[in-house]
Amino acid sequence: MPLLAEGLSYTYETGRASGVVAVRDVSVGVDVGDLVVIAGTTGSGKSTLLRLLAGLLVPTAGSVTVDGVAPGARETRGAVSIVFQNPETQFFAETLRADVAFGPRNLGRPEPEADADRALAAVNLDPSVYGPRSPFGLSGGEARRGAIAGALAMGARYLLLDEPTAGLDADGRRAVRAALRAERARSGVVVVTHDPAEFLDGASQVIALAEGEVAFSGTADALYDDPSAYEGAGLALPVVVRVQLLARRRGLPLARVTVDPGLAARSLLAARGESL
Amino acid sequence: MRGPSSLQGRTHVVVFENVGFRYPGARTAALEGVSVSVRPAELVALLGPNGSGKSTLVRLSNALLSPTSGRVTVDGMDTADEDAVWDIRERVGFIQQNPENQIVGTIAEEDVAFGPENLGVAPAEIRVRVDEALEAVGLAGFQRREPHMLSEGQKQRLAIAGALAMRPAYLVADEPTAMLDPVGRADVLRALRGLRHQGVGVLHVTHHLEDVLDADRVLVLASGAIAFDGTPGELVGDPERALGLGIELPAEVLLADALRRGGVRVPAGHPSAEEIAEALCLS
Amino acid sequence: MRVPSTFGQYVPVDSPVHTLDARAKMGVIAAFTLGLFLADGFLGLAVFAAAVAVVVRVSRVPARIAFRGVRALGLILVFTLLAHALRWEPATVMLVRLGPIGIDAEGLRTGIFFAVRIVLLMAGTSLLTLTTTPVQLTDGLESVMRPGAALGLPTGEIAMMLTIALRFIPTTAQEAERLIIAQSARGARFDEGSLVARVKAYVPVLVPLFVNLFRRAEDLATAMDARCYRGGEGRTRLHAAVMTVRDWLVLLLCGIGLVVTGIVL
Repeated sequence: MPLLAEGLSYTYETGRASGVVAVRDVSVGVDVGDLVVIAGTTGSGKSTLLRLLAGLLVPTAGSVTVDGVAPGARETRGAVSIVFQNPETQFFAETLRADVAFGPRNLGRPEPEADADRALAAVNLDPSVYGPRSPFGLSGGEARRGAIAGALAMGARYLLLDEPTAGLDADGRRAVRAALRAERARSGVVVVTHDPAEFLDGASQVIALAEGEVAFSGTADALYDDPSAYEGAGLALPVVVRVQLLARRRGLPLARVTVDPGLAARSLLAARGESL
Repeated sequence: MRGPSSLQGRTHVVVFENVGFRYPGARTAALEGVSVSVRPAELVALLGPNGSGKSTLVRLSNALLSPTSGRVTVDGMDTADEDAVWDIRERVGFIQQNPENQIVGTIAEEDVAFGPENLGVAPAEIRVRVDEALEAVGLAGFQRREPHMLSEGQKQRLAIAGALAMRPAYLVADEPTAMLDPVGRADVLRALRGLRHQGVGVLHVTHHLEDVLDADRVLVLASGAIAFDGTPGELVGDPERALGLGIELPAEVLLADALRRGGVRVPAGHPSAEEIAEALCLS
Repeated sequence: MRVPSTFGQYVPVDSPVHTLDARAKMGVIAAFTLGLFLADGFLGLAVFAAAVAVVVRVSRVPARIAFRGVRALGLILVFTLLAHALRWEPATVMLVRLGPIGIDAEGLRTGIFFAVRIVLLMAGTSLLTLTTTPVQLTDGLESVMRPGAALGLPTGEIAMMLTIALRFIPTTAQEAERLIIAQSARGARFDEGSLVARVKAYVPVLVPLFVNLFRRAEDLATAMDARCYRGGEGRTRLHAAVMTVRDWLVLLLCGIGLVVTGIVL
């Protein structure tokens, strides 16, 4: 298992004798092709967990390894990339290309601009159009994708994102989701969010955190089979999913549960036809 | 709706009459031919995609901007009348999207006091207003809390309290939930509903129709003009029209609509999961 | 992420020092500073050190926090000490000698005297900000500056500017910390290379910091407009500070005591 965290705990120093425990005994594994969704309310420890996985915080207990090596070792530099909340507020360069090339240049890559162009193309921003543009004049969705490209350009095999669609309108969110879906062909993606609805379809693993501990861990299907622990963590399943679970409990033969209202309607109508 | 208000008594209403606005140097108008009204105790929702003119419209309502054509009046006072500007801003509270950036005070009570202080209210009266306003948004006991020790949702409620302490007749909220998590968002929505029940007219600008399903009216702006003026029920009941206006409907509304078209008798409006499941298994 | 508490930040506890009017505290600090500069012996410094210690105790501000500012002075202290202690081709009795440079007892004594004076000055003045909220401080300043208003000085506006600056210090510190972490995650190194290289390394932090600050300033200006801010004139205050008998007594007695101590010792 390439990006592996075992028994992670993290305690914030507060100056008092006992610090604040932000994360307690969490284990996660991420492979290329995975989409791991880490859900939790504010203060559940999800952002701390993401920083631990990125090697930005040193765990108080447990360990993180990247392809068998500690993060930060020379051979793994750039392998794990993190995208913070509202990453477009970190733009600083005159052109988007120069900004995206910042990471690979810092890592001493031979052709940072070429890395930048590849990353821009990966998030569906045509490098010949967007590369020379100022990063400060982009729309919300474009800026967000540009910032994500900044992480991808470092050659990330594991991409960690904190609330990647927050604050975007419907079009912006759709574009970001499409970019992440495409990215799974090359890397393992971890998304941390307080509202995981839009990532549940296609998630290879869902982890719900509550007060720093894993309240639920499993596939979306396992979650739908027994959402009690997930709901106990202060999270709510989308209404569309709940309709399907209720219908199933009442005997409608539904093979698959989805968050997409169109697909859900189709399978619900089909199942209803069958059972009548 | 013109004229009489300024002549006698005061009709209590914010009125946009055929309002146009063009930013200096801009090629196209940000708003054109907009007529809108908001009354006390009324909740009016304003939806529309980015760049549709929402922010311009809200800034016209409290004289932060003046229309380049047409007229905006608040309780009979013209926002273009420079002598009326402060009276207008006292009557029309305003909160913005980013909770952090609108807090002036270094502790909560000093921030809430900022408006009344500017109005020259007596200290004892300010004390009363500050405590009442904090209480009204569910922040009683937070008087001495520093802003950076508050969650984003709490900061936004602090901003609402700051507007409330000026005893406004209206509150204009420009995407107040856009940067909040679900808990913060629910708290802010509750605080806004509370205002309405106290008789304050609320103009709530948002991307999310879910935020304003209980609004008295929904306005949709598209390219600087009002493209829809009706009830939330009309939008929810006509997903195709909503989509055409660029409004994103809640997923369950789309599901209910698709099921209805498939012959399931789902209750109209915004049904719960239970109601939809019930309908599926009955008919 | 925890906010790093800024140096000299208000410590919200209840104490007789906290409830003292900001203007009284400013007056005492002025007397303290004057006395400290008048004192020319170690005995005088000892008395001022004792005074600081007593006030720290009474203010209930943890000593660790009260003296945190001193650490930031490290480099200045070392410089002060050396500037006085080091002598070229000294004649008197030498303690240490290295070629033409040496340290003598007299110089060392002077160096220590000045260093201690700086430490006391820092500790004393930071007690003001540690026990006074920023708004009390700016209100106090405004009222002290009031005679300046007659001369056309915009005292109300200056006080408001200070309030806003103080209000946004923690926000900006948080933001800077966030940006440093974010750019580090993209491989930026802030601790490598020459001085020029290190300064340049901060460009990716400073540019977005300022872009975001300008955005904040714009929002804040709108918010202040919307809440009817139109300058200091005609404004009232939630807390109209009044100098009580206690405030006056503390100001007069402590003020006289500190200055006299400085003159005598």
